[in-house]
Amino acid sequence: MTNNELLFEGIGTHWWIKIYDEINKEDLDSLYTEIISILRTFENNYSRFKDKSFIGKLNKKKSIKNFPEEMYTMFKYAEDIKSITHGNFDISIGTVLENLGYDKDYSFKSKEKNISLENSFEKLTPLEIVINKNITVDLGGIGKGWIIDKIKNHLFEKDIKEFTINGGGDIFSITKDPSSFYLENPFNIKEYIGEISISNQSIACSSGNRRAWRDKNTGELHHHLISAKTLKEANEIAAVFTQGKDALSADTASTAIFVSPYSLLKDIVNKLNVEFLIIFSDGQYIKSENYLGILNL
Amino acid sequence: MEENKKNIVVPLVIGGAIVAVTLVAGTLVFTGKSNANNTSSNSDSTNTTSAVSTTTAILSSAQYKDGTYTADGSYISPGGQGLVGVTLTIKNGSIQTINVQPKSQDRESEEYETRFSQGISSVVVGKSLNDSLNVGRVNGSSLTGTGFLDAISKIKTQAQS
Repeated sequence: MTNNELLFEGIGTHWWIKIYDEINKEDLDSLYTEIISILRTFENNYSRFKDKSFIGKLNKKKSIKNFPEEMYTMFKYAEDIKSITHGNFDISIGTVLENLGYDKDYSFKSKEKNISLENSFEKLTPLEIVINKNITVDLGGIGKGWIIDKIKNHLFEKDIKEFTINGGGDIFSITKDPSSFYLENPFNIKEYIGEISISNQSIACSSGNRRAWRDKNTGELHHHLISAKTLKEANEIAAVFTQGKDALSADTASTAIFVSPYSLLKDIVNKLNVEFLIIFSDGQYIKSENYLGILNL
Repeated sequence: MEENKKNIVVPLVIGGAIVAVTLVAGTLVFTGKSNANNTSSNSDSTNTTSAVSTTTAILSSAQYKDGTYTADGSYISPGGQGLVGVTLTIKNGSIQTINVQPKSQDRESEEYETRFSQGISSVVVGKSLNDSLNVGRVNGSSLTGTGFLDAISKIKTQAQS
């Protein structure tokens, strides 16, 4: 039996997948090939940085008619999250990111400042999507969780019983005995501040300190977790860790909590049915009672 | 080491009924920066990460000389500008072992850390992560992303026969 782990790059992050079931090498390699294919297809379909992706086309032409049903489902889900976060989480955030220079050339040069994300969707049906001509869409807040669940479902369909998927620090894991994961220190990635043991669950993390850049025009430092409502980066929170039944809810919740005011916390966790740990910039933390992570104290 | 915990009772509405939920609050307590012995102590060269399918696929189309190769890949994505180190050994044309290590953060990331750390009087208690072994075991937001592929492409050049 081999001890293979699959490591690869996709949607701008580092993937690690391990299958624990005893299967022969050929079947394992087939599974890995299938997983990579699922991810590449997703990337080609939905990356904001690819002109030919459905998102690329939508952002360019501001409308689209031929697109996968999955895209409509994702957009409807995003609409729900926008509503529960009172607009702080919004996939039209692409507009803001592009303006800050987080574009496909990674130019990091900010463009004009006046943008409004109101009325971003003019039409949203399974047959047609039309967006306001001034906005662009980015699925970053939900895409990773979505694809992790897709890979998870594929493995279940293939009757795999034990596996771990780690997509850049967002994880789904199912093993007979719970598996432990380290909670990364948001102030120093070479350290961990605690551990969490889970099985048949997903854990996610949002932190501003990983996708940061310096604006080449203004010299300001920016990160990517921006509230669509205030158009400002969320600054009070250093990291949000979540725990949920599936990767989509865990991943979405971690982003939504990060960019929303504290007053919306309970609505968000209620809607998405997640447990959480929030670490504030000053080192204070709070966690829900049933969050399984244990901190080094 | 002091702990400052308080229980906060927050009403949550679930299915129409108000349910009281107890939160646990506290402060991450700071002592000295700890590079203490990692509890995952099998962190030496006999790591168990064997040949990785995708990396093998990346290298499989050409002939590569046996040996151990190391290269640093740089972040070119918005994940921050930094380095990731990749070391791998090739034997009989296939990858035997591979190690991936995030390298020290660049100045901007450090500045960014400082910005977030303002108000903290000392360093958080953290234990060190041996990331090369624990790359799949970390729940966090590190992005080593495209740096990995950059390092692999450099190794390809080194290893070609």
